Formats: sequence, structure tokens, C-alpha cells
Amino acid sequence: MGPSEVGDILGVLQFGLLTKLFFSVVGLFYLVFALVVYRQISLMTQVLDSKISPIVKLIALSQILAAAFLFFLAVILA
Amino acid sequence: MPRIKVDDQQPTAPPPAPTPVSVTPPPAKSQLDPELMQKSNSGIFSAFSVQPAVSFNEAEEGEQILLLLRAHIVTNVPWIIISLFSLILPIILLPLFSALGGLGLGAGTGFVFILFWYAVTFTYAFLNFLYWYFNVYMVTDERVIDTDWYSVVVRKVSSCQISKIQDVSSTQVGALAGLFDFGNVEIQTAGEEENFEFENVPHPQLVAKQIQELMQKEELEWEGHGTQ
Repeated sequence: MGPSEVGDILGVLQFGLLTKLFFSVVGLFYLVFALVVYRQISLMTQVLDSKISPIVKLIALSQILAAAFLFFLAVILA
Repeated sequence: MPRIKVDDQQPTAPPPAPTPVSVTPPPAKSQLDPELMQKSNSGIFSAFSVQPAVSFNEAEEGEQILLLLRAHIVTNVPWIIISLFSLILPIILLPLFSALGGLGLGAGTGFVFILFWYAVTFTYAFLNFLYWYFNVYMVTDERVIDTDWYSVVVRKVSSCQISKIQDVSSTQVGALAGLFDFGNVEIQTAGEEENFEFENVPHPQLVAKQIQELMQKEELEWEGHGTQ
């Protein structure tokens, strides 16, 4: 294996690590964002409570779970 | 002399007096314009509800919500179109990326990228819906209330007594506004109170008319108190 081939492999590994790092950071920010959205929805439904308030909260909770799953996937797969 | 039969049974105890329950009576029909009742929509995504089935935690005791308004539903069309386009964009671009060899990205990375794309699309649509749903304008028998959700972390609730309103006007600009009958209602308040603007609400003329009727009613009440 020549030096150029070793350099290519290292380059690919670096690129893979960078993409993993990128998606992990984005995933973490998205998770925090989902938590903030849920909190704000809770506050707004306290101010104005209607029939679909439970459904909106459920969707926000689902978003938190999806964000956590995405973060996990970003760390494992990306 | 006729015999009067005396009932030997002990008189039954009178039924217990009913416990008084404080029930706030619904607002008198005379407070509401009949045209408003005709235009009212009681659906859960309604932008124009008369006496809506919602609770407002900053309502005062005995205060009744007469009108609940939001921006007309047609104002949501732009973000709905963008969201739908974002949903189908990966389906269109995926064959192109595959033909280019995936741009050097692995299958796992590509999969995660697509998931993130759909997560962002969902978040965009959900937030736009929330901004529309929780940006409400309310007219009660005592106040006008404006709840604004400017962004995820910025909320504002403003209110003004009907008695402090000086002028109400409505405007409709554009063909779309004329077609779907939505526009702005400007409420000028007295002194240092901030002015209110109900943006893109349905039937703005009716809303302005109803607020003016409430203002007249407040004036009559004050005149009645003054002469006593």
C-alpha cells in the first residue's frame, strides 16, 4: 500500500468523522429545540386552553422522541 | 259535621334546599350582532368563533369571551405549499444523487440526511401551525385581548378595557382579502395605552362593528352610573 493510498483512506476516514460530528451536533441542537418547543406549547396552552391542546402537546412530545432517535442515529449511522 | 281524616303519618321532611351554584350566565344575545352569529364557525381550527369553547387563564371573574379570532386560514397557504414541496423534494433528487454516485456519502449518512430533512420539514410546518393557532385575538364583554407568539421563545399578551378604546376601524387590501373577506381591524386606545391591530382576521367590518357596539354599551353604562 503506497503513501497515496494511505492518504486516500485517511481522507475518507476524516470525512466520515466530520459528517458524523456534523450530524451529531445538529441532532443535539434539534433535541434541545424540540424540548423548548414543548415547553412553550405547555405555556401557551395554559394561557389559551382548547380542545386540541392535548393533541398539540402529544405531537410536541413525539417530536422530542423523534429528535432523540435522530440524535442516536446520527451518532451510530452517520 | 263531616269527619276530617287526620293523616297519622309523620309529615315528610321538606326536601333540602338546593345548594346555590354560582353559574355565570351567558352573555345576553343583545350583546352580539346577529350577523356575527351567522358567520361563526365552531370548528377546532376556526379563525372566527362566537362564544368559543376555550378557556383563557387571564380572564377576570365573570368575563365572557364573545369573539375568538385568528388570521384567516388562507394566510397559511404559503407555508403549506413550501412544506409539501419539501416533502417531495428528496423523492425527486434522490435518483439524481444516486446517478452521481452519492457524492461520496455512505448509505448510512444519506439515510440520516434524509431523516433530518424530513424532521426539519415537519418542524417548519408544525411551528407555522402553532404560530397561526396561538396568535389569537379575543373580544370579551370587558376587554380586547391580543396574544402574540412571535417566535419559539417570545410571547406577548396585551389587553385593553373596552372603555378605553377611542376608535375602531377596519381595512381590506388586495384581491385575495376581498375574495375571502379578511382584513385588519385597528383599535386606537386612549392615552399611553398601546394601539391594537387584529391582522388578517375574517369579516373585519363585522368585528369593528361589534366592538363599536360594545363601546356604546359601555358608555351607556357609565352614563347610567353617573346619573345615579
